[in-house]
Amino acid sequence: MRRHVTLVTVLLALPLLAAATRVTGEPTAGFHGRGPGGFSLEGTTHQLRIEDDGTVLKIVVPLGGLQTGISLRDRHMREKYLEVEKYPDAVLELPWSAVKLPEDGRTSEGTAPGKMSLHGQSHDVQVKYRIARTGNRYQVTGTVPLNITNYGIDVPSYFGITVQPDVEASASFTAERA
Amino acid sequence: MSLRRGSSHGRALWPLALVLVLALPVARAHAYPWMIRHGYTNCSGCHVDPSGFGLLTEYGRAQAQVVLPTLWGKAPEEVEPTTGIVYGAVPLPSWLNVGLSLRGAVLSTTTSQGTKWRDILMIADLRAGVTAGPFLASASIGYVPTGATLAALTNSQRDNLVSREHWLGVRVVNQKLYFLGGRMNLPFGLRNVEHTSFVRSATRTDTNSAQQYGGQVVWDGPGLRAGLMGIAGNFLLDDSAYREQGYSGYVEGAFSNAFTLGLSSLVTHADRGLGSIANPFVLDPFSGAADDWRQAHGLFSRWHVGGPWVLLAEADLLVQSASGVPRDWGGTGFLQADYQPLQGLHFIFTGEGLHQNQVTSYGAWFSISWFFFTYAEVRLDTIFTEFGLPGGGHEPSFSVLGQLHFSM
Repeated sequence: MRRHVTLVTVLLALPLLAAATRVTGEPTAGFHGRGPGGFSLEGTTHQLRIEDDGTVLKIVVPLGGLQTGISLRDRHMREKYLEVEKYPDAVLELPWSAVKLPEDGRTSEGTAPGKMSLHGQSHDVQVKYRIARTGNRYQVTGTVPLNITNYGIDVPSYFGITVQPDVEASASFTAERA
Repeated sequence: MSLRRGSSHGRALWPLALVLVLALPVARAHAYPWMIRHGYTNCSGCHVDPSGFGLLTEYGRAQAQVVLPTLWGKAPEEVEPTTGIVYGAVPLPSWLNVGLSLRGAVLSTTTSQGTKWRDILMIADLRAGVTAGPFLASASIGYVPTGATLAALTNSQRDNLVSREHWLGVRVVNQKLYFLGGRMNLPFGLRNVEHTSFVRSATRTDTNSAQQYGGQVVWDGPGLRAGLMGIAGNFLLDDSAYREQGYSGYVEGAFSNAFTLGLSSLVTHADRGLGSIANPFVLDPFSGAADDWRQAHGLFSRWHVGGPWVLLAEADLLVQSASGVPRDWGGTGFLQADYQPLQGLHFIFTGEGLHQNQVTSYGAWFSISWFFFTYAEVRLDTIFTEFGLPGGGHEPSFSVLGQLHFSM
């Protein structure tokens, strides 16, 4: 009987935990890549959601909305490299225990271990973050260095311009945490 | 004062012009600073010249088909660019870049003295270049019936062969560091196409004919690009007294993929000063003056404000001195807004000013540029200028310039 009560309690609490942190405002996520010389490439999307079970914060970025400023390049990125139909999301998992939350009115910065899942593969990563807190609102920015070949993504090459496999993924959003 | 030897064999060059016309479609010959709207803060991806302008790379030729023209209902992501010339009919190896550019215009200029009409063949240039590993080279040859005498290989009053650029170079450090030598565009300010704008004509850094011989070091890195050229002179000028020696350079930081800010500087010396063409109503006191020192220092910026809007700005201090001529302090400014409501169609609003030789001029441009088809542009400029007059007052001028430009 006690086991049943515990199970019921947990099941009832799960939605509350999942709703413990929510994104407000317009989030931004993307990547910054480089090519030869000064060639650079930025992809941006405003689609981002977070899932919070109280232990691990999951930052989920649907990749179908990534835009680089040139739609043909976006198509190549989606279809040829990221294979978005098969692998629609990039997911960063960050244990709360590794994140230093600031006190009200303060800012914290640090590096935390996390796990990045992309293109059907997952790898441990180091996440550089900055969190500014006002009440229960947290302004979060973070970056993660990635080597796309580690995730089975072909190195993009287009008419003589080859992008370097090392890119920087980034996200910034404002969240409210109960 | 003509610095070129006169001759009368220019009519023999008409067959060359005919060949150039028949060879259409032809190569794009311009840089567009408003390409920052696509996140391009550097120029080397698309142009053989790492500071922009002129011959396109293989990647540049592809982008010219994808992001420049109106696509007439076709979605940009459906475009499958070809990198060969003549609409892909003639393939090119990836290390070879070839193209032609043909820009013809009709100009009407109205002043208090009446209206004058001119038809102008502005550019009919064949360009070729190599980007093979660390080695690169670029050269152009073309024909102009009038003008561009500072780039003329021949010495006629009319109908000259011109070579605006011819240079060799190497690039190292993952194509970030370049060493170039030959006749090149001066690294200074915005590389805008309006070569008669005050910032280009008063600093003599236009891409029409103001190129100089010399050696240049270019840094083309992420977030920062810079070029410094040691100017040895324009050896296409027969009279060496008018050749300028000195330096020209810029450094430009990209603070994001939508905003850049740059600093330019130029100092040259010539035994005899060349006359300025920025204000045709002023007799340039430095024209022919001995021991002529010319300086220009300034700031420039490119900013993709958002959506269809791009702002380009440049402001330069101008200083000139020569033996027996009082030092002249002046300045010039340029502010341009480029609005692209649909791909390929640009409404361009420009304001500019110039203070030089004790008189102030200012002007406003409204231009429509339409890349109505791949490698084809029609452009209309309406230009109102109040040219300052010595002793006070202004001479108003209203110009309408219609251009048709085929390129690849």
